[in-house]
This record gives sequence, C-alpha cells and structure tokens, in this order.
Amino acid sequence: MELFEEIYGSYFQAVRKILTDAKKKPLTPKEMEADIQNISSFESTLVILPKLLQGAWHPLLVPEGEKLFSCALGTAGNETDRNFLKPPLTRLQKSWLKALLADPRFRLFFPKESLDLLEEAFRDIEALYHMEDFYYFDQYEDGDPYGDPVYRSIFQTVLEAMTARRPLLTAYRNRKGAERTLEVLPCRFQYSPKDDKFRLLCVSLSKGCLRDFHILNLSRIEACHVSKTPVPKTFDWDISRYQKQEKEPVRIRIYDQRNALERCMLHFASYEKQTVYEPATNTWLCSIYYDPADETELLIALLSFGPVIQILGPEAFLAQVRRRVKRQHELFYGLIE
Amino acid sequence: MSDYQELIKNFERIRDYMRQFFLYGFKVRREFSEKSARTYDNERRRIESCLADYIHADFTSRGKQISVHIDIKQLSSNPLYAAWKSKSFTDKDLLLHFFLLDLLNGRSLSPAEICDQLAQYWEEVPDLQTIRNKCREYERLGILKMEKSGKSHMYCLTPPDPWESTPVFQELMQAVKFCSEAMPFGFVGSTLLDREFLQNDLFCWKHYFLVHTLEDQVLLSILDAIGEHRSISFENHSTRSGNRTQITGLPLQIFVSTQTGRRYLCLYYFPKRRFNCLRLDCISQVKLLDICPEFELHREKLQKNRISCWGVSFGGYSRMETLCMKLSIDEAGEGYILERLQREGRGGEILKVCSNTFLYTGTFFDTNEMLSWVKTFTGRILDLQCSNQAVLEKITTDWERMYQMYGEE
Repeated sequence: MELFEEIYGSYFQAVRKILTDAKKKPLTPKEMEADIQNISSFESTLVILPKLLQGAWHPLLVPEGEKLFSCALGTAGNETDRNFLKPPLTRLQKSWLKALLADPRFRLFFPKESLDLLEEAFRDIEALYHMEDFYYFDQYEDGDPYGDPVYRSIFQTVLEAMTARRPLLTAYRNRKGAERTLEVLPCRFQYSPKDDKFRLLCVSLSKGCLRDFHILNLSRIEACHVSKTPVPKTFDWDISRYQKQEKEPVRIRIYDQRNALERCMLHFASYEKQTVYEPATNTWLCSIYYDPADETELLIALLSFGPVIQILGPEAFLAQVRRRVKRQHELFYGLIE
Repeated sequence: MSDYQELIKNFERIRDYMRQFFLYGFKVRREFSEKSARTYDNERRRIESCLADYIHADFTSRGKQISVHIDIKQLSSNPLYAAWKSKSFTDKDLLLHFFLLDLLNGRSLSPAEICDQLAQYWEEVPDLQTIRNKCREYERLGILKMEKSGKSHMYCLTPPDPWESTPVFQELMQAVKFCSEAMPFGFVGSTLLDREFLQNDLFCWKHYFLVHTLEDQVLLSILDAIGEHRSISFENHSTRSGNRTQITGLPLQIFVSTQTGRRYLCLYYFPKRRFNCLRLDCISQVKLLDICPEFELHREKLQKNRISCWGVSFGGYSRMETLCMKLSIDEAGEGYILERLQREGRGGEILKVCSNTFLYTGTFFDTNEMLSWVKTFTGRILDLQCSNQAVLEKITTDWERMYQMYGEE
C-alpha cells in the first residue's frame, strides 16, 4: 500500500470543500479563497482558483451571474446526501483503523459494546501493522494503566466533559499522596509517549470564578463527574495562553564532536529552538525555548550530553549546572580547597 | 524557478530536505552540496509553503537563513503531514475523481456508461481506456467496488459499513484525533479527519517527534516484509560518513526511542549472524526479497536478547557488561529520584545500601549506551563501577571536562 496518493492531497481536499460549500449556496471567488487557505497553503490558492474559475477544472462549477459560482455536480439526486463527494473509506484507512483496535490507548475511547461492534466490522480487514512489530525500548515503565476499568471510566468522563465543554468535579491525589477536590474546566488532554501518560490541562473553578491553570496526571484522578456549575462566560477554552515559555531561552554551544549537532537537534526537536553556526569556533549556538515547568527535565537532558555541549545561560540555569557538576567532582575527588 | 511546482511526483525528493530543514532549521544553500542551487531553491520554497506558519527568515552574512520555529506543545497536528498531501496529479485525475464520486454514488455504471454521462459536463471527456484505468485504480484503493454484469464491469462507490451511521462513528473520530498524532502512520488518521472536515481540538503533545512521519513509507515497506517473513535489501546512507551502502538482511522489529527521537530497523544480518539496528531515516529504496523460513526462530531469539539491550546495541563479541552506580538520594525529600531510577532503570536492580544511599546495578550488552542516562544523575553519584574500563574512563573524563567547563565561576 502507498501512503503518497493524490486522493489524500490538500488540493483534492480544498476542491471538495469548495464544491460541498458551493452546493449549499453559490460562492464568490473570495469565499473559495478562504476555503482553500483553511486547508492548504497560500501558494495553492494561486493554482486552484484560476483552474476552477477559468481553467481545466471549470466543468466542476457553474457560473451564476458575474461573481457567483455553484457546484455543477449532484444532479443524480444525491446533492442533499450528507456524504456528498465524501470518498468511501479506503483500504489504507480501514487497515490503519484495524491496527488501532489492538491498542489499549485507542480502546479507551469506547464502551465495550462499541468495541464489539468495531471488532466485528473490521474482522476481515488486515491490520496495517501489529503492535508487536514495535519495541519502545526507553519508554518509562510507570505508564498509565489503560486496561484498568476505573481509569477507563475516568478517561471517558473527562472526554465527555471536554467535548461538551462542561466543568468537571475531581478527586485528585497529588504527588505526595494528599487528596483534594478540584472543580476544573477540562481544556485538553496532553499525551507524552516518553512518559506513556495522559495529563489533563485544565483551569480550576472556585465559587463559579476562574482560578489557576493545572496539569493533572490522569492516573491520579481517583474519581470525577461532570458538574452542573455554569462555565464563566468570559472563559476561553484555548489553552495556549496558559502554556508559558521562559522569556529567556537556554543558550548552549554545540561542539563538533561525537555527532553532537545531529543528536542535539533530534533530542530537542520537540522544543522551539534556533541554531546558528559560528565559523570562527566551528561550533553551533542554539537557543532553546522552554516551559518553566519543564526546567529540570531540560536541565538533566542537557547534562546527558556531557562536555560535547556547553550551557551558556541564562545565569540562574547555568548556576544549577555548575552546582551539580561541582558537587559531582567533590563526590569523586573530595572538596577542593 | 520557472519550473517550480508546489506538488511533487516523488516523495523521496522532499523527504531529506524537509527533514534537514525541520531538524536543523538553519541550513543555507551552499550547505546542501548534493543537489543543485535550483533544487535547493525549489525545495526551500516548497517547505516554506508547507510550514508557512512556522518559518522565520533572517538575512545574515552567510545568506538568507531559514529557521523553523515550532513549539510542539502548541500544535494540534503535525505540520509535516503536508508533505504527504502534496502529490502531483493531472487535470483529468482531479476531474475524474469528483465526477466518479458523484456519478457512482448509489448506482453502478460501466466505464462506457460513465463516459456517456461525463459528456454532459465535460467537453473533453477522457477516452474509455483512461476511465477504465481510473476505475481499476480506485477499486485497488477501496473507493470503488466492481461487479460483473455479463461481459461488463460495473462500478459503484464502495457502500459505507452500517456502523458508519451509528454513534460509534463519532466515538471513532474522537479516537482518531488522538491516534492521528500518537500512533504509527498517524498521517492516515489525518486523512480520516480531512474526510470529515474535522481537526483535533482535544489533544496536545509533549515529547512528540514530528519528523518520524517522513520515514513512514519506508517503514510500511519494512512492515510488509516483516508480515511476509521476507528478507529485504536497501540503501543505507550514513549521516556521519556520508557513505551509501547496500545492505541485505531479515527485518524483525522496529525499535523506537521515545526520548531521542530516533526509530531503528532491527534486522538479522546474515553475513555476521548477528542482530543489528539501523536508523530508519538513513534507509531508502527498500526491496522485498525471498521468504526466510527461519523468521520465527530469529524473532524469538531477538525477544530473548533484547532485554539485555540498554538501547539498540547488541554489543561487541565480549560478554555482558555490568555497571554499578551508588547514588546519594535524600529519602525524605527526593523520593522522585528513586522513582526515576525505577521507571528509567530498564530492569536494573536497586538496593538500599544505607540511609540515603542506593545502589543501581544493571547488566547489558553495551554499557556505553547507558552513559547519557548516568550523566543525568550528575551531582549525586557517590561511586561508579563498570566491567568495561573504557566506559568508565570515558565518563570520568567527561565529568573532568565538564568540571573544567563549569567549575570556575
């Protein structure tokens, strides 16, 4: 099977969007442009629009007056069909879905009866891959208990609240084992393949007012239910404003040793960063932007590179590195006078 | 750049460029020495177009510097999937696609009847053979279903399964929002969301390595070979030496690092009669060869052996190596360090030596692979012993160099 097929392409998708919208009501070129840019790049607009309006793809549209165009298709009586121009599921898509059915994380989303129905529906489909074909050798060993019925039930309740945009009342056990009750607005799940954990990004509510941003480990939510508390009208469900980054990035110098550049670029690929080459020293200077909550994680990841990188700043970050390195030296060789 | 086209015919053409731009984010034209300046310009433009929201351009003494700034935590979906959605096609391909979806919805037509119907809309209807070929292609993809009626081949859209019109489908789409990023071949999930005009609005990510998607076609070919128990040959491009070599072996499993962003093909290498791991991003031109009757035997051996791998190295020809690390951990206030040892120690033994002192002991094929992890405990290692002296010397030298680097304020 091929992944690289034109039917999955952004041009096909953009044209389908235009045609389905133009079936509902005639569109202006400006509206078509908006459809294209929601799906594809700006450059695509320069190709798709002229082809549809005056070029080779014009049979798909019918001009209505000077500035409006309706869809030429749908004459077979299927224009009201909600699946109008929606392609049937392909073999590749079905085969991928079949592969997912074996994954306990995928199964979290469904009650048992839905899983039974899907298993029956995909019985004769060959899976695109098998879980045992993959070995995640450095994944942490304390991942979430996806098969645990209590965990599954909590996941589904959180998902229900998030989808319905309702508050959630939770009993949460923190890292030190202390329990507390929190009413939260569940904004997004965060998943880390390294930790093999789901976390809930949420904002707490108290007496109907917005309080703090929290990241809750899903496995530490002991019980929860959707609450009837009204959501404050001013609340913005977009969590990006809560996900802060330190103003000053960590700056490192990468030496041309032990393939450090490539290793660093890969290891820190999930961070926003900027790297420039310094010809005079044949080194690379890299600035890594990070969430303050991840500072320790970033610090130990940088230490793992040893002397093939040098941490240059900011000063408070550098002081932590100095302290650890000095302490290590003292542990091995005793105090230096 | 008059010959620039946003869409491409061959994915391999964009794979390497996109990987390098995304990872390094700072390469200028002359650093891409393997291809011409025009190729660089075209590929750069294509990537700038795909990743438009994340591209920053700076003009420096070294020329125009493109950098890609992506904060993974802010992403809903992998922007590199755009590469998979950029396959070129002809005008006829696009027109036939939409006409077939319309004409064959709820009814069956032969290619000749399709031809007649098309004439109502389209002045330059393709010839019968083109329509036949397209129908066959769509049947292969699963979009069309063919039934014989006398001598005619009748085509209709593959009817949806009954479950597609039940609430299970909505549940499925929520799961796909997660799986389109978190599972192998997530790009396929992204096409399912496209089909419904949906976007992920439920999940965000941490420790997510977007660049894996660029290896997925190679991965798919390898998984086909694993499924069929076949050997493969492929080209391996060493990123360090630049050398390209042809390798033949029996693929057994994909080793994935969730921490360093690398995926490896683990294969049985016949000439040396050993397991070997090679990076997926260095592999291209995979060819499936003969079925190997001993596949199950080799895979069983791998399952037994891999617990002795710290990472992806099966070591040299020496015996197993042992590393012991004595750590200072304040039991009252640093329980999280003990938790780290347990979850990251890959089965190594942890013993309490005395109050606030713990001993980690691990025995693996290649302790050299452990050193990055050991260095994450810098500042609390009381003693380190290793049966491989070279490994011990390497890390003590590293700490000495780090002390020179950071010791003086």
